[in-house]
Amino acid sequence: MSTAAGAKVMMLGDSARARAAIPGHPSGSALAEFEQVYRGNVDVVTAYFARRCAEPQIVADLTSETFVRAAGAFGSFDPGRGSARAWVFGIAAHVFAGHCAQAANGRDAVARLAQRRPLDVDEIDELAGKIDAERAGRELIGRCSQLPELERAAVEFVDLAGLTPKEAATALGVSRVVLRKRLSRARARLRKEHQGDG
Amino acid sequence: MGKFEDRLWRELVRKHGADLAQMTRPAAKPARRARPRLLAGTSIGLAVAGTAAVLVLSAASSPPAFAVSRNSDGTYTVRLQKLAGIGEANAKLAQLGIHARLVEVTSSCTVKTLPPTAAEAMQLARTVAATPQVAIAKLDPRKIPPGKWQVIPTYRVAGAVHVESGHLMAGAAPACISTVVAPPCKAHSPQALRDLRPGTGSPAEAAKRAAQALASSTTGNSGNSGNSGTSTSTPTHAQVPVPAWVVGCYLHVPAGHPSNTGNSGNSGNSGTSGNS
Repeated sequence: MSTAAGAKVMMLGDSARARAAIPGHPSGSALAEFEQVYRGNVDVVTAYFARRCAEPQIVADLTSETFVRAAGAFGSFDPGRGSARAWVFGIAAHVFAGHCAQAANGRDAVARLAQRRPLDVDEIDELAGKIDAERAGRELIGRCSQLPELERAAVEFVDLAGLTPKEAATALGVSRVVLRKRLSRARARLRKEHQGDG
Repeated sequence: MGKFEDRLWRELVRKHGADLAQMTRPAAKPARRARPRLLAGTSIGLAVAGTAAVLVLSAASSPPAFAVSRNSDGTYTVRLQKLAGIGEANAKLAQLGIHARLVEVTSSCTVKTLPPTAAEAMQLARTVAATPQVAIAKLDPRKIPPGKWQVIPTYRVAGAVHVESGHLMAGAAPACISTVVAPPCKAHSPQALRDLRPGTGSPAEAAKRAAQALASSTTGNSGNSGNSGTSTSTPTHAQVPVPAWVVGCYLHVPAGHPSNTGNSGNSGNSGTSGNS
């Protein structure tokens, strides 16, 4: 259901090529660090949005916006306060919340913020495949729609996106105890609903 | 990674690669440290930055005298705890290519005068009790026009370091700033000075008027460049040759014009120009 495991695999060949493409890009620079953060999380962030949206262009825009913001705020990222994944997911959650708020107001915030880049055919196919792969996750999110927001987010971040409870707590800005309680409560409710359906 | 992710990465590098390549990030800390207290000062220019990240610390083993950090909105925050950190903070600003400098305010300085607002803030700062404080200045390099510098007056009053809101100046940043308050900035053309009807136009208009007056002037320069109090306080034509004019609190003399004062914008002529 989740693509988190695949995202943890670093593609070192690509990384080296990217570094080589940037003059004066030392391996220990912030750019190199950000590249690791990007390559380690872009798949899971794309999957996160693919579970939320069925439109490839919107998934692309939201993913782009997340990493544009991450690049701009990378100086504020403190690994001592949480993993890169938790940090990126915190940004992604904000981006999606902003997108929903703007969509509710009839405005396309992402197009404005991310300066929408039209996708080519190959990219659309690729993202459509990811959206399709997240169909089960989307169904689970649909079933979670009756849950309180924090419980829904806890299920999504831990059970679908593959974050650890600690990472999910950091991304959602709550304590680990609260996160675990909410996650447990949400799972119990879903189980109960599932048994009721059966 | 797929084509979309690769293309997105290339775009990120294109747009943010330069910033990221220059960014110096702090080493990962094993545990979260207590948040340092940033006590708001009374100075006008103090501002608290929201999402600043410390990029440079002056020394690992001692309390940092300064920090220069880049904010997510592209602005920079300069934190200063000791005046001794001015030099290093300026070096970091230079390294980042930012045309802004912290400049210490001292009573012995004769180079440049203190803007009136900074003088008021400095006076106010004297009335508050000394508290441990980190002075914070926020600046936006994108708003500094080419060829100009943002000068940030910095001083120590009542045991605490203060920074003021910076102001732009052409040329180079001065080595220091005098505590003497600059005069109100009004443009006086030579003709207006002769007629004792000072002009109140913009500096550009004043410059144009003065240039015209200078071109038409047939009188020789007496050596008094016109920035002394005698220029306006004594309404005699003989004492007002003044092929010079006051613009933005500085006295400018046209290039190539004979002048024995050398007051090309940084002469610290406050209190003597008598044009208030």
